[in-house]
Amino acid sequence: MADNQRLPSQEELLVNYVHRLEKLKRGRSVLHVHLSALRPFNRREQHIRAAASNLENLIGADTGQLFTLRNGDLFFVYKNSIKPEIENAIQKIKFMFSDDPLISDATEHGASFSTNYDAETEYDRILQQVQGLAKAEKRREDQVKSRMDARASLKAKQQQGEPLTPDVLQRIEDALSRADLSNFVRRQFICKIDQNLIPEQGFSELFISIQDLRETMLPNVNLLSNRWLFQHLTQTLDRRMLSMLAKTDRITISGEISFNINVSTLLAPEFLAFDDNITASRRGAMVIELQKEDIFSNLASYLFAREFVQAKGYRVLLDGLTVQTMDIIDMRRLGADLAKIVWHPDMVDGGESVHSRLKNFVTRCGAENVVLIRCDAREAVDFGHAVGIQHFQGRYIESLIAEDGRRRDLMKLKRRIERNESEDVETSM
Amino acid sequence: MADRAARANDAFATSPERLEENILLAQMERLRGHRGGQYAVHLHLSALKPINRQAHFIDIASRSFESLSASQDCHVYRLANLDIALICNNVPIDDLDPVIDKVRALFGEDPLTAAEPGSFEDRFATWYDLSNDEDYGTFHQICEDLAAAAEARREQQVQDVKQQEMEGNPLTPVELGTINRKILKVPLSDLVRDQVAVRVVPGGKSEIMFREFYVSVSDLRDKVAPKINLFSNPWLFQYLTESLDRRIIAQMAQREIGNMSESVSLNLNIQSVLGRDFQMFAQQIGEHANKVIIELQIVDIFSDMNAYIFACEKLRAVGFRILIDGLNPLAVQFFDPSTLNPDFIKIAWGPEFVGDDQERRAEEVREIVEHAGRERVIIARVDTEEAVKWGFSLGVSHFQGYFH
Repeated sequence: MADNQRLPSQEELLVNYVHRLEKLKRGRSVLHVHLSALRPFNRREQHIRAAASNLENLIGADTGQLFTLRNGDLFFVYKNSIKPEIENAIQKIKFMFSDDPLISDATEHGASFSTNYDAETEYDRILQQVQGLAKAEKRREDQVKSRMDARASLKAKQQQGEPLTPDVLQRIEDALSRADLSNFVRRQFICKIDQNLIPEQGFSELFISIQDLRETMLPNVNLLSNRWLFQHLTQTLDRRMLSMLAKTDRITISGEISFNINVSTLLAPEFLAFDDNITASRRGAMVIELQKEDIFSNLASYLFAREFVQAKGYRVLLDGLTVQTMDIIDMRRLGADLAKIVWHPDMVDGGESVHSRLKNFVTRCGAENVVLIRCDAREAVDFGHAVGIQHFQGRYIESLIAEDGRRRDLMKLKRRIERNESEDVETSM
Repeated sequence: MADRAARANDAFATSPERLEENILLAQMERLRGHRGGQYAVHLHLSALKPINRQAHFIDIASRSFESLSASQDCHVYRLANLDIALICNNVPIDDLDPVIDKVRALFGEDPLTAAEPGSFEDRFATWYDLSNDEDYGTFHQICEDLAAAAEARREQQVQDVKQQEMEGNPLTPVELGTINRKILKVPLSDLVRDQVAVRVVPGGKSEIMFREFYVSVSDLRDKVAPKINLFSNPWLFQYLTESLDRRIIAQMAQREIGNMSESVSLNLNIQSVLGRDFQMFAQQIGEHANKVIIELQIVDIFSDMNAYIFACEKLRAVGFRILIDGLNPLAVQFFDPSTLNPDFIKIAWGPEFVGDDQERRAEEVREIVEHAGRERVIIARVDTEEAVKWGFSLGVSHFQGYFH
């Protein structure tokens, strides 16, 4: 279909070129400039273009070929005879980004700005490297394309199970209302992250892991295949979550917590009973997360419920905003206290307009009230910082917490050793 | 679920002596002789707009007084018309005020609470000093009237039960599969209805903008699930609409759109637009796509924004126009639909917006209309002259509904 007409990507062209290079590798080198490792604000399109321009005048059919990859990295394949010019160009590019930690902290972290390969001796490494990059790009493209593809949906069916049908939904809801779900409750912390990537824990979100639930209880059903049926299912999960939260022996809910719930559940007897049973001070430590589609499916109920729970001391969080929806849905006007915005690598590529819209969004809502969620790589935190976001949630944040824990343990250990040593000195004296 | 929410409506289903109004009247009689320190507050929740007058809202509102009535001499009466009456004996007003403010805030978006509390225009609460003869007399009369009205409602209850049967049992996943299979098979051609949207031009004449084709859900219900209230669960109903989409797309493919003199519109789910049935329909009508307007629901759009953007690109590329449906005057106060860049925006008017004449709100809606462009806005569900006037007052001249 469209594949036949599609132009090959730079990544693919590079792989082809490197294959052809095998016969000509003598006396040639490959330069890889790691612009993708720069901070997001340094790797906008105009920066990449400016950097590439330093190499462009060295291009020649025989002397050098330039490839600009989608992630911003540059590859330059050249004849060793122009090596001095290459050195010169690298210095110029480096100078352009001298304020970036990639360059200023290079010696500390050992992350390098550029890598130079000798094509003759390091050919396999070059090939491996460019193939890896092409694969990653292909994967990204496939994700974008797959929506309409019947083949992709078949594949999804094989991987994720049969689509959810009303009959299956009924059975699942019956099973869920009887089963002990406490094993499926997961917790993720919302952290304030500083420039040194030290996390400071805020509230934690408690949620029922749909993934684990599915794998354990319903391995052959794709719960997410129909969004309306799934939405109905979440109402059952709401009630189970509330009953677990009410019984603190089932799951520990120390500290400030948040949980996702439907507006209709907030107005149902289950929530009123839950609310009756918790102390007033606990309400102040709870954040109620609501989905935008749920809010707009019954705005009058939302407005009523929001007022009801806020008057009791709960805070209300608007969950699941994206770059596309953040400007349309006004958190302030909806009277929510906090907002979560979903991280996506495309945010970085969105250019100046996306960045300034995000900055405005953060200013409008107040940096204290915005959380960037589903952060699974450092890139998300760097990007968040660049647009003024301070609070983060996601797998990467969990890893930072773990790392921070290990560091603290080490420091404690070190202090204990030091104390013992000084005691030893004292006793020996 | 026999929850408390149902209680408010059940109040008038009990015997006369157990009517809350009669209990209130009896209490008024009891304290006739010793009224010092007694006062009453009447919260006119029956004057809320229908969308805010939901039983579970009233239930939560009346629960707000529970802690006060537990610690002080304060009686709460939940009346059949959904009003709340309080009779308090020497309760410090400073203790009661915050609770009433809280209840007022619950309905903060309703015009009923718009006036300054305690001001002359305040229609939310009325206070009676029962130690004062005149106040006592007035409130006593009101209680009598309320009791009479409640009695009348109770007698009408038989009627209401019938009404409930009409509405049917709530839709649950148990019936959903069967209903869905029936929808996919039921002969549909006689269930398809159409309604025009018109442009009112100076001189009071109107010309047709487009004709919307849709499946009459109430007629469909009679055929596939006569005892079920299909609207009782919004998500399950939405699921059924995906099947309805497939049916109506097939129907429209048979009608020669190219030969029709007017543009047509279809209300579809985004997933349906991205599906195979629609793709085939689009191929079949070819260049006539520019005569077709696709209506998409706002809830659907918000639940997957990327899918919306993707669908828009696809639809526009072959000439379809896009209309955003599912908005009402309340919703547009909370977000600006023009940022979604549709060709048309449909705002459904409804009886619940009668009397929504407050300047601030009207002004907000007017701004949204201006921003979207008046020529893109259609006021739908227009069945009274009031709705047309409301539209005109916003500068809109496109209408859809029964009133012409």
